[in-house]
This record gives sequence, C-alpha cells and structure tokens, in this order.
Amino acid sequence: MFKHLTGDKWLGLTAVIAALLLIFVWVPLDIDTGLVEKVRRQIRLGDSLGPVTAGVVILLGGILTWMRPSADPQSLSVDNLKWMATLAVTITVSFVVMRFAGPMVTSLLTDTPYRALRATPPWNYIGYIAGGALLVATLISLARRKVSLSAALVGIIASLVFALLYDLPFDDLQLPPNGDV
Amino acid sequence: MKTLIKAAAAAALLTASATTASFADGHGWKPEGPIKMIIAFAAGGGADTSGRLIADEVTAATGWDIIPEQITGKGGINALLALKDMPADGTSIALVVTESLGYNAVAAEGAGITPGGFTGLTTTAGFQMGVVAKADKGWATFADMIAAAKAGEDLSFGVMSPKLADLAYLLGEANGVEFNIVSVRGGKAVMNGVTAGDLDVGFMAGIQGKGVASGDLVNLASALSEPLKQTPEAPKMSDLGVEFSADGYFVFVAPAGLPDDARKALTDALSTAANTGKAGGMIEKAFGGTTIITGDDLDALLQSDYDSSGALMKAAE
Amino acid sequence: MGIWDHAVMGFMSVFSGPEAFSILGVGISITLIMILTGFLMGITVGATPGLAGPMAMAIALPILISIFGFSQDAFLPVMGFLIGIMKGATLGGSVPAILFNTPGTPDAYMTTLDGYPMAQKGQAKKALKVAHLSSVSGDTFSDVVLVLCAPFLAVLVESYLDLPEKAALLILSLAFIAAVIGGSVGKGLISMGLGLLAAMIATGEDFYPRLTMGSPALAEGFPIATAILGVLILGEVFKSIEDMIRSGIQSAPRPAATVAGDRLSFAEIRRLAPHIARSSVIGTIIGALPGIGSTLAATLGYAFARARYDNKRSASDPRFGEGAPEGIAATEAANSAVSGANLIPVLSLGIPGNAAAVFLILGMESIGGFNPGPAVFRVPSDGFNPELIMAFGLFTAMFLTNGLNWTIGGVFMRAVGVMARVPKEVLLPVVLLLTLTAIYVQENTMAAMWIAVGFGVLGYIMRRVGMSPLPFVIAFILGGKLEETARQAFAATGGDAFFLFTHPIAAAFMVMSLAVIVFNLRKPSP
Repeated sequence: MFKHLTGDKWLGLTAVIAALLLIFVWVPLDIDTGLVEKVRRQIRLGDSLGPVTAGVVILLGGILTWMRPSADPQSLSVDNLKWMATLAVTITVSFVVMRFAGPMVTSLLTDTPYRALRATPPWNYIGYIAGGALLVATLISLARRKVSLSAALVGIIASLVFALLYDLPFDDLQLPPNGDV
Repeated sequence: MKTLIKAAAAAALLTASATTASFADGHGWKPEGPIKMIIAFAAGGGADTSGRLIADEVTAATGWDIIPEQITGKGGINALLALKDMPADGTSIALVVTESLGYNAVAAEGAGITPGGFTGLTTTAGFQMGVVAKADKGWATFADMIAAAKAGEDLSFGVMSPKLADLAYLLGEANGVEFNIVSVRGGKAVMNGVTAGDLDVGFMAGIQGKGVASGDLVNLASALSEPLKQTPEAPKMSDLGVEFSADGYFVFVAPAGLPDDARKALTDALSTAANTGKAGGMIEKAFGGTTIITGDDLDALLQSDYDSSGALMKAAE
Repeated sequence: MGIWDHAVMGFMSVFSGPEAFSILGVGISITLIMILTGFLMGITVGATPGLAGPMAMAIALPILISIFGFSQDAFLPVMGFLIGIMKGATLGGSVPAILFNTPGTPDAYMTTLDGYPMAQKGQAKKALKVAHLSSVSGDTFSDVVLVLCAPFLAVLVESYLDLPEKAALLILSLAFIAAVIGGSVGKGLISMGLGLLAAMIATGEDFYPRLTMGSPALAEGFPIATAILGVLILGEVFKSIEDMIRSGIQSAPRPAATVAGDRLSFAEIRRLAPHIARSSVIGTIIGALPGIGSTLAATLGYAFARARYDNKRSASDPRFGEGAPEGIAATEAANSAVSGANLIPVLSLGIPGNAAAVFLILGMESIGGFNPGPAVFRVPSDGFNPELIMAFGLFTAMFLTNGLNWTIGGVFMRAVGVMARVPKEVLLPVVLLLTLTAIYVQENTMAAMWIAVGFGVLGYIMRRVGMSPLPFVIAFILGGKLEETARQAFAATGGDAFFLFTHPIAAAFMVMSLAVIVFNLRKPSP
C-alpha cells in the first residue's frame, strides 16, 4: 500500500503521527502542569499549552502536506541515510578522540591529573587538535574519495590555527574538551 | 623521556602558580588548577557583570585563574544542580541569589537542592526591592494605588519569580484587592512592562533607581523588612500587613564539604574583591553598595530562608 | 533630552568608543575598525560560492562575543561588524555571478543572466561597475527608509498595542513566514511547528524542565545560537559535502574574459537610473515584510525591469538575458535594498524577517542593554534612553558602511574574483570545525557540540525533503516570546481565555493570519 506514497505523502504522514505522539503521549508524560492551572486562586496558562500548540501546528502542516503534495516531491533516499550513518561515525569518533586524547596522553606521561593541566599548554591542545584534525581530514578525504597527506595537513593546520586563535588572546575561553573535565 | 616530560609538566604548573606564591604563603591555600565560576544569570545583565568583575579583581589580587561560565534558568536551580556534583576542592563556585537556595529550592521538590548540599562563601549585595509604578499613573503612595483598585480599576502586577508572585498575592489579600499577577523574565522586563503601560505596577530590585530619581517612576512601597534607601518614607511589607519580605542577596556558594582553609581563602578573596576597584564601583552603582555576610551568619541566613519558604507558600495557597 | 540629542550622542558613540589606535593623535575607535573589517570580509565571503553572508555572521557572532564580552561597550563593535558582513556579502555575491556564471550568494542568481553574457563580451569591468552602483544605491535608499520608518512604527506599536495585541502580532508574523517562505504552506507549517517545539524544551514556569525526559544536559534548554548554527550551517555543510561525494568535485571555474572593459558613462548611468530606483523601492517593500527575502526581491525587480525595457528597447540594444546592463542594475538594486528595510521589523517589533536579521537579533540579545522592540525608541522625559542612543549608533554604522561601499567597495570587489577558486571540499570541513569550536567556546560543554550536530542533521533532512529551515529558525527565536506574551496577556486580562479575539486590533491580526495561510493555499503550487 505504501508504494503509491510519494515523498510528500510520506512527510505529511510522518508529521501527523509525530504530532499526535507529541500531543497525546510526550506532553502528558513529561510536563507537570496542564493546559491551564490554578495558582493563588487565579487561573494561568500551564506549561502544556505551548507544546500542544506546537503540536497542532505540526499536525496542520502534516495534513496540508499530505493533501497537497508538491508536483516534484523530494525525499530521503537510501543513499542519504548511508551518508548520515557515515557522518555519524566520523563525528562520533572525532568527538571521542577530542574528549579523551588529552587525559590519556597526560596520564601516560605525567602524574598530574588533566583537570589541573586543562589551561596549560601544550596539554590543553592535545584533544582539540587530534579530534579536529581527524574530523577535517576525514571529511576532505571522503569528498575527494581518496586519503591524502594534504587532507591531513589541512586538518592539522586548521585546528592548530583555531586553537591558537582562541587560546592566545583570551584568558577566559576554553577549547574543547577543557570545560568538561 | 618520561621523567623529562613529567618535569616539564611540573615546571609549567609551577610557573602558572608562581604569581600566586606570595598570596598563598599568607593564606596557606591555593586552588589546584583554574576555578570554574558558574553564573546563574543571563550574560550581560547586572548580576553577570558584577560576577565577572569580581572574578577579575580576585585574579588581580591573588593570581588565581578564574573562568566564568553561564548556567542559567529555573531561578538558579540549574546552576546549583550543576555545581552540586563538582569537586568540593575550591575549583568550582557559583554565583546565585539566596532565593535559589531558599524558596526555589523548596518549590523545585524533585531537584534535591537544600542549603545543606552547599557551602556558603559570601553575599555581595542585597536587593533594593520596591513596589514600583509609573509616575503618570498619578499614585503618590501605596494607598493611592489601593484606592484606585477598590474604585474598580483592574491592576496588573509584574513579578519576576514565584516567590514574588506569592508576595504580590499576599499584598493584595492583606489590602482587600486582587491583582492580576503577571510573571515576566527578569527585573528589566518588569521595568519595560511598567514603562510601556502593559503592567500597572511591579517589583523591581534596584533597577528602578534612575527612573525614580528622574521622577518617571515611583517607589510605592518597600518589599523588604526595612525601608528602601532611596525612598525611606515608603511603607515596608510589615506596615502593609504582610509578614513575609523579599529580602535577598547575591551569594557565592561552593559544593558541600569544602575544606575550611579553602572556604576561608575563597570567602576572603571574593568579599574583598566585591569591595575593590571596578567591581566595587559597579556594585555601588547598580545595587546601592555591597552587603557582605559570611561564615556562620551566612549559614544561618540560608537555612532560615529555606525553612520559612514553606510558610510563605502555605500562606499564599 | 529630546530625540535630536539622542541622535547626536548615537552618532558620536561610533567615533568615540574605545580606541583601537591613533593616527597623528586622532583616535580611531574600535567600532570603525570593526565596521571596515566586517565589510571587507563580507565582500570576500559573498564572493566565495558555498559561503553566504548569514553563514559568516553566524560563525562570527560567537567569536565576537568572546572577544568583546557582553557589556554595552561591545554593542557597536559587534553589530558594526555584523552589518558590515551583511552589506558586503550582498555586493560580493555579484562578483562570481558576473565573472564565472556562479552566483556567490543565492540572491545573485539573477545577476548571472546578464552579468555573465556581458563578461563574455569583454565587458566584465563594466558589469561589475553597474552591479556596484546599483547595489550601493539600493542599499542606501533602503537605509534612509529604515531610519525614517522604524521609530515611527515603534511609536505606533507602543501606543496602540497592549499585551493581547502583541501576542496576536507575533502569531501574524509567524503565519506570514510559514505561508510565504518556500513553495509549500504545509511544509512551512511543519518547519515552524518544529521550531516552536524546540523553543518549548526545558522552558516554562514550572520548576520541572518540561519535555527533557529528565536529562540534565537539556535542563537549560537548547542554547539558541547552537541550535540555529546547527540547522543553518551544519545542515548546509552536511548537504554540500554529500553533493560533492555524489557528483564529484567541480574544477575551479575559468574566467570568461580578462577583467577589463568599458567605462560607465554618465549617459548610461542616466539610462540605468529608473531601473535602479524602481528596484530599490521593490526591494525596500519586500525587505520590510518578514520572511520573504532578497531572492524574491531580485526576481521581482528583474521581471518588472524586463517588462519596461522590452517596451522601450531600440533594435541595437541587447535583450535581457543577453547582456543588458539594465538587468544587472534591476537585480542588484532590488536584492541590496532588502538589507536596510529588514531591520524595520527587527528594531521596532523584535521580529526577524530573514536569515541575516536572525543573526542581528541574536547579536542584540546576547549583548546586555539592548532589547529590540518598541521600547528602544522611547524618549524619556528626563535623562536619556541608552537603547535609543545605541539605535542611532547602529544607524550611523549602517551609513558609514554605505560610505565605505560607495568609496572602496567597487575597487575591492574587483579584487576578490579569485575567491571563486577556493576548493569547496576543503573549505566546508574547515567551516564545520570552526563552527563547532565557536559553539564550544560559548557553551563550554561537549553536549552543546552534540546538540549542534543533532540540529545539523535536522537541517540536512529539511533540505533533502524540500522544507525551508527558515520558519524553524524564526519560530525558535519567537516561540519563547510568544508563549511569554500569551501568558502575560492572559494574566493581565484577568484570565480571559479569548483575549486574542475580544480586543479589536488583536482580532484583526488573527483574521489576517488565517487569511494569509488560506490565500497561499489557494495559490497554485509552482
């Protein structure tokens, strides 16, 4: 039955289902006050009213999109989903490296905890430059469909430049991941 | 190789703390690494500015590295929740208001915030909280406003926190009128609403100073347990039949279990900074001067605020 | 103090701010330097295909805030820089359009139609001159209208609109934006609903942060800049990189001809003038309406000009599309005239009309002491209104940028043609890293970077299913304000559930909201 659904019909259907779930499941479960509430013997608008309004707007949009699909509908293809997955892996790995490279290197080489060194060069750059370079180099390599030294160089230079750009002039700013440790 | 790098790391740390050496000698405590200063107020406002200036003064005096960071929302509860789980070694502190640990902590039942979960360091300034209306409303006193309400005028009353909403309600009840209580975000929004005529009257915590001085705004009453510095003749809450007050302070806190030497060093550094240089000048201008409450006095203040909040909520139910 | 004193103080504040350096004992304020830097950067960015003005503004904003802080002193340098980028990018977008047949910014597409044929005929320099003259004229006209209209409109709003009317006006703006942007009303509404929903997360009156499923990372809600940078920049980067992977990397374009050619004679300028004037008016009107934007202004300006031109054309003149300078003039004047007028709703109502205005509002709201809205233009009976002075400072900055545009803009734009050769596959990943870093520096937590990536995926999906992300962004910015105003209106009217309909002006706005949706539904889909 779903074969006859064009991209916009799918989109409309998804929006309608999401809106109904929002209004009838998520809002009642995850908000403590109703559409209106009584406080100090006065009625005031509750916390649920805004989200329900948002849900109604999505619902309306979904119905309209379902009823009036555009002539040349676009939709997500399997290839798009594959790209999303590739991107998710690339970003996750880069962020993990960014978060943990600094503490790991520090614990291997010194007895001082990373937290105490998080504002001290060169330790505070390790994670950012490793993770940032990995992210940039991987994406360039994917776009060029080949792994190259130049991609890695661009990554290292870019992250180094940004690190110095933020860290040298400004005392109060922290590079990733130094606000988390 | 490894020893060499260890030596280098140690050297780097030493250099970083060299500037603090003289101060550290005197007090025996210095933070291990940079201090995270959580600010529970929107960036750019008066409270935020005072926090950042105090951080600058502390750094200038002690050499400690302080990194201010915003965690806003829910009347300071978000900031306290974040602070609660941070190390209690003096490298994490937060700037909130006493109300966050009092009324708001009680109201946010599920959050698990109590004064016992934190170590109070020092207050910096109190609120000059007044009940303020626009001058061209034609009310010279609080009684004029009540008379207008009794004559049938619907009055909207702007407040910026649930505690103040309760107080506004009680104020109406004690004087035989019912205000339409309107919650807005922050004192600046109350002032804008009152000035634009969207609100008839509202609580303002010092921001009204300039308008009152120029005659655009009027302090009808003090929302405190004592008279306002600017308008001493305005009646206090107790004069108007309300046994609660909006007394409150900006306060620095750390997680519970902070060692005594760290508490003392931080308290000294912060309270001195609040009275010094740009920070002192700014606090004088925006909040009418510093109010320093520390140590056991502060503990007692926070605990009594927390304990009395239940009574206020009950009274306003 | 009267309005004139405010104007003078605002004008002075641009020149007297903190000094950057001094020449011969005359101090040059940091604001002037920032305006100049922003303007030159804007032209460069506009000339780079794949980057656009709003994108550069988005990346620059967190960096600027980090540099200048949140204090009132930061207002003019930061906003001057953003305005410089906005104006510069509009001009810069025409450069690759004329030289390489690749529009540098989306609104420069119509410029390729006549600009590139002119370049092929060896008249590249002349085409650039026409683009420059028209762009600056349109921009300046629009700014004049802004300065004359915004205070007037603000005073009207202040005297006639109370809380219920303000709530209804917000609804009308949102309805207008959802209905007009993009091809489909349905998708516009979905996009807007999602934006409203995102604005609701963790906000609200209750102490339990709603819709967070108990997650502490969300307890503060989505940071506005993080979410918007995610949808607008990361979404675009994700899509563009995928496009490059699918269709291969296009080699750098070759210029059609050397950048040389005729001068622009006075007689020619006189022939262009009516087209520039007409398009300036069209662009200004479109700019003042929220949500429509410069691309439509350019299209309309071009279409009107073609109709006029075809009537009067002599046989020897090139047709539109074959290298008529009038085509460039009509397009560039129209899309540049949008940039001043779109500040009318921003300053007088606090409602952003397009992506560039979104970042101007974000900038104003991040910095303390300036809240866009009718309160800005209030003249107090005694003392002064700092916001009004800041507004006049902003106007001064805009006219200074125009001055730069008239004087050095033309020379500089001819120098940035080379930007079209920057390889996109290198540029975009670097932009991604810079954006993420800028977000971290503001928010200090890796969670914010994840949130940005999450919104980036949302922005990517929106682009893939043909849904404009702009209603999302604008609804996200206005959502909190709408809920707050509605709450306050409800409370202030003493709990009147129909406050949107019982006040005549509010009711009129509601009827208009409905009309705008229905009208756009009946319009045949393109």
